[in-house]
Amino acid sequence: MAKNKNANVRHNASHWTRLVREGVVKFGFYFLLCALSFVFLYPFIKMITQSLMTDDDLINITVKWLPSELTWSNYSVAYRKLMFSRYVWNSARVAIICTLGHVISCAMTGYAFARYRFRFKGVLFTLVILTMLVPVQTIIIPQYMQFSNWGWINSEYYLPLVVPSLLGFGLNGGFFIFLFRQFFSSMPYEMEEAARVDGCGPIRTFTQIMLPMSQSSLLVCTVLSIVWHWNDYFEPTIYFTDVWLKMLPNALPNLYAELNKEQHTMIQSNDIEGIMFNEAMLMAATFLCIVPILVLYLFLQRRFMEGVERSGLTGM
Amino acid sequence: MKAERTVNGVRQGSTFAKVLRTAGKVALALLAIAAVAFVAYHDWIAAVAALTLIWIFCYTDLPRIIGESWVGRRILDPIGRFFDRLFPRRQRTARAPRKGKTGEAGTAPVRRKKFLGLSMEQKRSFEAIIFLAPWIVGLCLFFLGPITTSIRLAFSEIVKMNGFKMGFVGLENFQHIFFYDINFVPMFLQTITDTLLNTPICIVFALVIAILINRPMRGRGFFRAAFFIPVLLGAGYVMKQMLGMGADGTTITTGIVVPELIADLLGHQLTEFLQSVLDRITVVLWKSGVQIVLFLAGLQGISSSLYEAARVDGATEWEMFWKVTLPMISPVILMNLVYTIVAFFTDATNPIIDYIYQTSFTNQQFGFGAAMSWIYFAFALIMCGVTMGVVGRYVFISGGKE
Repeated sequence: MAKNKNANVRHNASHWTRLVREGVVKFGFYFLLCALSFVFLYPFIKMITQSLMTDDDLINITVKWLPSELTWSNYSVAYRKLMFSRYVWNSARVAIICTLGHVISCAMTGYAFARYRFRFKGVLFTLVILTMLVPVQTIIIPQYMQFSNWGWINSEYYLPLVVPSLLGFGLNGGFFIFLFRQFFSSMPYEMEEAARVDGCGPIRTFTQIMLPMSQSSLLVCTVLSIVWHWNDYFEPTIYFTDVWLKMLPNALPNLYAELNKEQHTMIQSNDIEGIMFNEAMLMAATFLCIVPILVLYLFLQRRFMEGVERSGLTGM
Repeated sequence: MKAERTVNGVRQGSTFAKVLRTAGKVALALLAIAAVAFVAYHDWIAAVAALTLIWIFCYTDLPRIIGESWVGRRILDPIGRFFDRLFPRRQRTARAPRKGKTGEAGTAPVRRKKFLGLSMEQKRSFEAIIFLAPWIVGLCLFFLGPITTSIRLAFSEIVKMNGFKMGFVGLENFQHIFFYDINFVPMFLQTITDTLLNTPICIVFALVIAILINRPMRGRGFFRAAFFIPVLLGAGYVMKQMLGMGADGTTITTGIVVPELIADLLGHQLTEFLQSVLDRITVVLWKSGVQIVLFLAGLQGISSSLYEAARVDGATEWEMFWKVTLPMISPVILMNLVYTIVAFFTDATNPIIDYIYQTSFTNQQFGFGAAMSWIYFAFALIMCGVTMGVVGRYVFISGGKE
């Protein structure tokens, strides 16, 4: 029956039926996309709305999304309690330096793997893949011992994080090398050959010809690296125990613990009136941590996506 | 005809050449031994130096460079010839003609001006060293070194905390994990099932979403930006809090429930399974940002001429997906699979990661922690290997590439 109807439609194919059918398909498509993007935006929406709620709103079941009044004081309190101004500087410093190191060193290594033939190339590239596969957890213990022998634990220059990234390791270094290798091998040889014929040395070819041509890929790596470094939690917790040296993701758990403790003492002292629900403030603090990279991403997202499209990943 | 016998460019005849070659080999062997020793005894700087020297030796053929340099020709070669005269051998080879003074232009090949006496090929690989040098140093310091120590540590325990002196205990750590520790094995199994379930869900959803947002449409920029946003939350502490939050005690993901009618039809076990899948979908979706990005990159790389050809031949969208899109992005799928497995294994929200961290750093049982992390890594490696082996067979590689 359905088949028959379908055939009928196709046969008549009047302008209006076609338009309606296309409209339905289009509507379904956009509906699906909107539903999915809601799922993706859900944590953010939830975070923002909850951070603006008062304590009463949090208890009230009828208030699900929209707070009855906007409570900006949550943010100011969270800002103070988190010592945001101190930790954001630490976080930014580490993220920027590590990202710079990552991009430069991984681009160099990826370029060597894409363009040069040398002995043990296969073995070395397998090692690159292996560095991608080995979880941080497997090597963190000897790393820690090594760094503490060198006196790098709690180093105020963040050496345990900075030096590995400068050498193409650290957070997902192998992944970036792989990405750069893919990108460079998808580029045409002609430019480099022309440069070589004109007497351009290898380093100059790399810095003045290849790097300017690979801006899109550099941007992709920069964004990914900065986001990952900003959110990294595992390694900094282990290497930096000093209060002054902590970064935002490490400062958050402290705030959580502190607030929980406060609540606990209040409950124990039967101070029912004074009990506060911390969720709103916690959400405000969490959102504050995200804000810097969120802003960065919103500025860069168009070019980031363009860069992703040009990264030449299919030519493996 | 006075032909010059050369091997690797070093003149065979003179004793000097022989001495130099043997010395080179001996030095290389000594360096290799030294490097291994340095790595084992944690003298990282010396180890790096030794490995770098080996590297240069292998790549540039150092004896040859010395032999052909001014020092070699003017100083070492006469010494060698002097020794030749002192201890004459049966067959004497002729002295090599000097450059520029040779009469027979035909025999001497015209050579370009050289850098350090390197051929074009060697010069290229010397350039490769420049680009690879930082990474090689990093490889020794932050990968090979820790990995070897980690293996040693898994079979030993820390005897003295100051300076981390290790004492060999054999398989004790592993025995302890499997026969005494009550937490590790259940957590480990949980992680494995989680990874096995999450990975396919993640890949399928990421692929579907990538295909959806790859179409030309209105508001493309917004949708693309939206799908990357959970990555900004990261896999770290923030995400962990988000998953366990909620003022009313509910977590963020308990919302989707299997309808009772379907539950009755499927039976208890199947429903539970379905429920667990539904529960994890939201979380998995949030963690699929990078995968979507990779798929998008892959989809953009497919040339549109393939689709045009398929359309001309009368293929429907469905057929085009199976016959064009899927084979063309199969390498990206493989890469994504491996990336996803590793990402889920190393995820900060994993209970086992916390457990390893606590045993090694809070309880200071480093050897025990290392053994656990090795079991953990071994399993990740096996899974990646199996994936590569199985999926790798179906990966379509377009012609022209190696």
